[in-house]
Amino acid sequence: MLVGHLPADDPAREALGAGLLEWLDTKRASALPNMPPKLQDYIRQVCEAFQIVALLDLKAAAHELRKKYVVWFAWASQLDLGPSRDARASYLRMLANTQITVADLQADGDSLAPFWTRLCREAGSQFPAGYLQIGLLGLRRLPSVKQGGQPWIGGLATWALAHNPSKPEFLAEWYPLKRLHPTKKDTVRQLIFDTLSSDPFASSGVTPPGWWENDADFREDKQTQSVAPNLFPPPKWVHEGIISDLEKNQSYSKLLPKLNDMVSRHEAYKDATGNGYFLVRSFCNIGSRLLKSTGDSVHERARFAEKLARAALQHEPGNLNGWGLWRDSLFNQGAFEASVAIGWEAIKRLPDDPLKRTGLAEVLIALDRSDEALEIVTTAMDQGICHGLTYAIAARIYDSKGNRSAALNVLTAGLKAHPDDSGLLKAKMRFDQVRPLSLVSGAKESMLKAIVSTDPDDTLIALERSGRLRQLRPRLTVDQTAMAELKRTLSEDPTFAYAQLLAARHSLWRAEEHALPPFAAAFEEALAEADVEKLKALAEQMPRMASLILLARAILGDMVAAREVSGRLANPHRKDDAQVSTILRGRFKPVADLIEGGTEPLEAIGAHADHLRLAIYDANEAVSSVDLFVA
Amino acid sequence: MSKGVSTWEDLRQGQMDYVRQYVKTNLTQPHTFMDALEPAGFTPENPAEFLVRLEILSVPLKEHGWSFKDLNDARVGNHTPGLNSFCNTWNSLRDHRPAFSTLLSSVADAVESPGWAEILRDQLGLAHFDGAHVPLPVALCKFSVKDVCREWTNSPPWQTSTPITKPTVLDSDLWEHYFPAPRTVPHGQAMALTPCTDAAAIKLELLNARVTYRPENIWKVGQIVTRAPLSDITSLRRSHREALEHAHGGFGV
Repeated sequence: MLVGHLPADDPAREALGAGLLEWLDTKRASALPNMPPKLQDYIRQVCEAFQIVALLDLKAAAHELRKKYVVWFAWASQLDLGPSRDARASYLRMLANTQITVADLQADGDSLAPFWTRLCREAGSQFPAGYLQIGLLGLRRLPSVKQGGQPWIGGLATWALAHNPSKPEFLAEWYPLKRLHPTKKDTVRQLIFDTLSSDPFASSGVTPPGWWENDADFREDKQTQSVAPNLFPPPKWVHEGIISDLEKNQSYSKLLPKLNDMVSRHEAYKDATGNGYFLVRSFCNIGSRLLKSTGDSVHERARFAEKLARAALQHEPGNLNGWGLWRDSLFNQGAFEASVAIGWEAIKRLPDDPLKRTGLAEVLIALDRSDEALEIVTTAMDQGICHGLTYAIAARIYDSKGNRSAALNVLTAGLKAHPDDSGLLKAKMRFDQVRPLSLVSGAKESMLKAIVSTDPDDTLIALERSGRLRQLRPRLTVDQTAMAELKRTLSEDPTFAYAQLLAARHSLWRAEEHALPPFAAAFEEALAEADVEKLKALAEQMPRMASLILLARAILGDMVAAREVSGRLANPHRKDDAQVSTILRGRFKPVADLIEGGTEPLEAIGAHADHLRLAIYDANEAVSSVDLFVA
Repeated sequence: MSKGVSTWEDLRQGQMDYVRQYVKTNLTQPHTFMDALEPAGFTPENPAEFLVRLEILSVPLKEHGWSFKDLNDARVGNHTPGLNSFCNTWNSLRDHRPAFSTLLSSVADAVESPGWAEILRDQLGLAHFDGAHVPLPVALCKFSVKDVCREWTNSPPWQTSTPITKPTVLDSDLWEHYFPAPRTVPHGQAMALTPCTDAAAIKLELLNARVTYRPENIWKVGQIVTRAPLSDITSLRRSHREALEHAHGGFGV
């Protein structure tokens, strides 16, 4: 080679490039030879000129030929006398091969990507079949390929969609690419999945792996699945693809097929094996990320997250993350009362989890119900069920009310208990700088601006109705309007279970008036009437409520029950009434500490009777709310 | 040939125009093999004989988007789909010009040597195979006489009874490294890149009609990393001519 080894800025190279361009300009400006032998030689020379530009990476010439693409492409398109005399093909190959060379001179080095994809689609129709190789070459030579990604997969799929190749035809094009760009199987699967899950493939009914199903790598999966369908949890790439799309702010319409696919795979695995472990964790993880994602269709994202939360909780009713996800997904749909209702349900069922309390407090603050939020966090602090955020929220609320000294006290107490908590440290810093503490969290504030409320479904309506009653609960003993509203609600719907329960608690409901009185309401009635015998009779009907009934008897002065319930709640391995015991155990701790210190169980229980009565109410409400999980 | 040839430059230009329009062509049958022009056809004694040709791969590799390593890896791994794809691109870039080749039996020793690519270059007079600054990827393509005949003797409208011929000066551009063989010799005699001291060492040279390459035709691949030997062209041609005259008693002109 005369100049191939010379540096790019060598005058000889530059002169060659300039000379070639000038020669091409002259040819373009002159008439084509009309004698076929001369014409084919003319085209051969033009082809070789383009080949030299690419072979020697003549940057200035390549840039000029690309800049005036319309002119050069139109001219080269005339010069086609068959494969070895096709100046258009040579021109396009030159463009493909010099993309990286001229990338720094372009606003977008990848700007030819759509053209290469079009070339793939139209190879064999508007362009000769061999142009598929040129289109794929163009995609392989995109400057961005160096950073990862395999756009030729999309190009190949585009060709396949347009031309419906036979299996051998498709694999003949795929296998060379696969070998040229060795990648982990899972990565390739993910890329294929991502490509085929988007339009135009998804809307054309192509389901992954599509044309790749005859690749040996996918054939293994297909065989495995046909031998033992769904006996493997969904592969990691299913979730990683969704997470990657969420991080890239992908539109919801493009996310949805992948989300549905994930759900189907998990449900299939769960149905086949009975193992819901992966389903619960994946649904909570993806649902949480869905809520945090930015982008379009806020409501739809939240709705889907709610669907995931409910499904997770159906399999694992005590899952901490599932409850928080459900609560927050309702908030993001604008179903505020339902969100609060679920927030309370979560606290009832998971009384020892500080996150459930702070989560509900954040929701209430966003809804301008700071007083309720303050009660939650101060109660949590009193009960020792708190973390740094509990104190931070309390400080924010006190600060918003102008009570700086209370805010400071709370921050100080919080930092004493949690000296490394970054949220508390930031709040204290702001406080010391005499700056106000933000009342509403940033996440909730953003969400309030984005929420577009839509018509709630029956479940949300029921949740919101429970939520409104839940707000009445603390006022029923002191506020006649609250009591009047309860009565009105019950008269409008005598079968409303929660209304029955509250009514029974306040002696407004009678079990004997009902053929099949629900246990929860009957229990409340027996407790309200302090009827130990009625409670004993209910225990025989509902052994899974044994601890609840024993504790109720204990606060009514039943010494035997007091001893027995202490023993039960001290043993975390009892299974017969695990659900209610789990809820009560945390609330029983102060009593347990007294008993351990030598106090008699009845005396210890009596010392905390009011606190335990509330715990009993919460536990009864929690275990009786099973209808919330019906989707 | 154009009319009014009165200078060396006219002759040179006329030759170039002729070769580029009627020999290096894809539109019509190259004159080299046109039965009507009575080419000097060559038929090897052994019909099972193989022909070999050294090809430069720079352009086909570039146009296909492969590096030399990609080609080598595909061959080592016997990756048929990849090699088929490469051959498809390569064939689409090739026209129907006659191809200089030789009989495998003529260069069997060289082919088995470690530096086979450079040895063949030097023996066959391929002065343009220069790898001094940038390694030059090459392939030694092997195909049978039957392959050539099968592709062209029964393929109208370009069928020919002489798909393998003895090279003449009109079959390529004027080039100082081409030297015609005596009339009495049925094949070409390649002028090596080093002075000839023994006519027996001169390698047989042929032209064959285009063979559509398949992966199995790519027999060996390598890289030429040296410059072609530099010899005074006048001395080179003189020693070659003298060797031919000595071996064949003149050029039969």
